[in-house]
Amino acid sequence: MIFGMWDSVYFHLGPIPVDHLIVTQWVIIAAIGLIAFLATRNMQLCPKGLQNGFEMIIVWTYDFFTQLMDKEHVAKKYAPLLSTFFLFILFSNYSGLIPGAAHIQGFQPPTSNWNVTVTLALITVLAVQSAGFAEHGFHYLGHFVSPNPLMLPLNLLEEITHPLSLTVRLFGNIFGEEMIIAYMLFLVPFLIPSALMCLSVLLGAIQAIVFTILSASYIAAATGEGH
Amino acid sequence: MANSNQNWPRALANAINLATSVAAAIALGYFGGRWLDGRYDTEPWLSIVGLVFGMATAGKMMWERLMADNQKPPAKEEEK
Repeated sequence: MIFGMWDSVYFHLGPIPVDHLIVTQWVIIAAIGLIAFLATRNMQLCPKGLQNGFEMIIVWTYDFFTQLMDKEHVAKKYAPLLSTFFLFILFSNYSGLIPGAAHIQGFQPPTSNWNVTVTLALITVLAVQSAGFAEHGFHYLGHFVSPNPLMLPLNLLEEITHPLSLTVRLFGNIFGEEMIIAYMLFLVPFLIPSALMCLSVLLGAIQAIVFTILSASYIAAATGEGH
Repeated sequence: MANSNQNWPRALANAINLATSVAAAIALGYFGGRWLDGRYDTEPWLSIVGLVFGMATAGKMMWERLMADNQKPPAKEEEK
């Protein structure tokens, strides 16, 4: 184990090794699913309680993404994906806030692992490209040689930069935060790690928001009038 | 400077995006070039080319952002 990084494999699903990070992600998915189920199992015309809260959040989310993307139909189409990104990353980041999580197998935040953040960024890339093609058809390919074919290498580099910056930012922040907390737990077992974990509440939310907003802005750029 | 055409969610997205995309473009260009140098034994030329490409991409991204910010507001806003 290096600073709370466990590498044990529980079992194999065919050729795929299932380790504690995957199980943690399943638990997070189940938790989000359970909350969504509880909020929607008894839908009322005049919402109360959890349904009311969720409706408020969804309306706010639609408004936010519509402002960001300009096109309402694109915002409505991709708001579920983007909101799922937000919830998944938020829950993942917060799973590391359980006291001693860095030392307990199964509580390490999945987003502190490079593979998870790369996967999330690749989903964004797929969403961006499919949004571009859905909006502009094959004319979408024209933006790679815009304003002239000499810009092709730069445009391609820019396209690769997006998932790279998404991946590195999320992974770096959460991994770094976990490392600092793990170090502090060795040095000062209670006082300083507690203060850092309070900061992590803010950091976890900010990183979830940043990833979601950037994904939305990339989709907006691919579906915008410039293409 | 952001004009009245830009709403706050987009301004926020642009600020976050540009801050890291510029660094990522330069890093990607340089490390991509360095990887190619190692592969084809051309050190340091492809690292330099990659770095130049990365810097050009970063400049292009900033230029496009600046141009988008300074675009004329839509007609409906001018009529108000």
